[in-house]
Amino acid sequence: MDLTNQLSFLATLIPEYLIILFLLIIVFMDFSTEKIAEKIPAVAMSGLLLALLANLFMTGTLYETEKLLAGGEIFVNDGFAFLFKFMILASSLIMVYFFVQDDEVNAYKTRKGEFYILFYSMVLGMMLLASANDLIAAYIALEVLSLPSYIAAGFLKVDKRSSEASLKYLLFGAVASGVMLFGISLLYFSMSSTSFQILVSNMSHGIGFDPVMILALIFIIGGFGYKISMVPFHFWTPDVFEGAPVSITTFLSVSSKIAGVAVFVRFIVYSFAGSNLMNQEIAGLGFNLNSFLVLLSILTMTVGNLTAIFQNNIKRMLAYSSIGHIGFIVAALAANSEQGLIAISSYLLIYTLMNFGAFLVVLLIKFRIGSEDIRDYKGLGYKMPFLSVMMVIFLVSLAGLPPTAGFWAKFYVFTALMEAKLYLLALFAIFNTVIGVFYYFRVMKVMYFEKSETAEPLPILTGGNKTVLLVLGLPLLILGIYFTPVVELARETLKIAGF
Amino acid sequence: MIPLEYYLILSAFLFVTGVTGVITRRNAIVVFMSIELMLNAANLTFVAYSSFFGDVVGQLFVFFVMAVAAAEVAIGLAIIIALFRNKETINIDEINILKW
Repeated sequence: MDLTNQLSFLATLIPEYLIILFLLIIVFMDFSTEKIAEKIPAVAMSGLLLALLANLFMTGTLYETEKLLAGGEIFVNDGFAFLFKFMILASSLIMVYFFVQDDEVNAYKTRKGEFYILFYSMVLGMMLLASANDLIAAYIALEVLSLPSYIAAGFLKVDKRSSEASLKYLLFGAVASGVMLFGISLLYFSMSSTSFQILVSNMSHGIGFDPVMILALIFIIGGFGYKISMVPFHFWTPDVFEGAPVSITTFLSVSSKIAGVAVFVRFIVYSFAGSNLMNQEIAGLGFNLNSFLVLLSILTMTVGNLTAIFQNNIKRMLAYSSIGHIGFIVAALAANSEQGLIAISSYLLIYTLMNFGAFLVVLLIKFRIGSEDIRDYKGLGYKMPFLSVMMVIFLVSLAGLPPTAGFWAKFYVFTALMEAKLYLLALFAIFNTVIGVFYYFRVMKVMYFEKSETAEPLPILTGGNKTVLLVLGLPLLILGIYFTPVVELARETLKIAGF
Repeated sequence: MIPLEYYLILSAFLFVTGVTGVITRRNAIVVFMSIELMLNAANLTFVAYSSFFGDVVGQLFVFFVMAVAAAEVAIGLAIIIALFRNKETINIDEINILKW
């Protein structure tokens, strides 16, 4: 790469530079007087907005920078990365609104700056994760994301559940990253490279699978699987989601998962799908990498959805439901086709909207009735009509029923599975959709068909709350009727990525 | 010169020791020390390979890993202290409010 090329490559990282710049600005604002520190949320929001605009502007010039993708750089900025960074930044922008609403977090007035510093480091880690193209970069970005999340999960220092969630997250996370690192070292040992692209060329030169490499792959998939909470690496998810403050739970369940999926998909697709290794039998054991993914996907969906039925804490239920959704995404990845990748991108776009919406409703309800228990939601349908109608939209979409966009997101996963002739997996996916309908509708049943003993009026929503709920909810209905734009967007960005 | 395999066997041994410690020990700080052992096992593999074949990538990686490990320990001890203030224990078996 000559100098001009290098410079224009570095220019594609402008959104990351903006995030780092604003991170420093927030650190200094936190040091200065209280009056300045009060403006931190506004500054955080404008920083994210600027990065988002820079990201969109970059997407326009992508075709020119395409030639830069050839080498084995540790970061790439292809269409896939841009789409995921767009999702991460847009979701973080909505997150700031959540933080302003979250009274649990705001109770710690003097630590407000600290909170946004953690938040910004997490955003930076996610963005680096979305464009990581080398196991070194992936590992560092994963840690940049994970370390602040451990602290953020335990942000409520005097709350027992919060600090317990934090410790559990830390122990699981540290073990998972240690195992993954050992896997990387083994892979480096047998492939003598850590770059995704060089891995693929080395592997297709007939080195084939040796035992060290199988072990390395299992370890690395475990490390990534922990981040996206894929069964059997999911044990931290429900505990952390229940213990952490609601806004952090939202961030972990949406944005952090998006980034994890981005790097996992890139690792699998770049390193294996291009070669024929995906379908090559491993060491005569009668299964290949693809069937391994199919197995993980079936486990993830089934365990996530079945366990969600028995939950009474709504945050815990949504945690298990998010595990179920990850199962669908892994299923689309196992389809190992362009159709599957399009399904992943569009599924995540819709997942962001509906999960955000559901968590915002949980947050708003929590600070009105003071409970996260589903059984306490009795009669809310009549006490808070607008909020409950929006909740119904989000839940129907999460369940994957028409006329919402959630149906089409699932539909494209099914199409990809049928095209790849993975009929068993498709059957399990349908089975899990049915289970999903059961527990999502239970919440609606409690809200509308169970009478509450008390009839005291609840504080009414502000105009801002309603606007954000509509911004999240209406697209689900509109895209449910006309889903083509999402699929076209996913197709275009993947075309640029050259998968 | 010591053959490469010896380094690998040592690092595998270190890794297994670390995993065993994580699984069997109940004190959060000891678990944390075991995790450090796992990271160092990976470091040893990286360094051994890169010095044998003159590939600098492995040594580069080790520096990053050491920095990350230091940060992780700082955060980990802080979290353990925060938990101890709330519950007066760092025994993992007694940290059980959140389950199922």
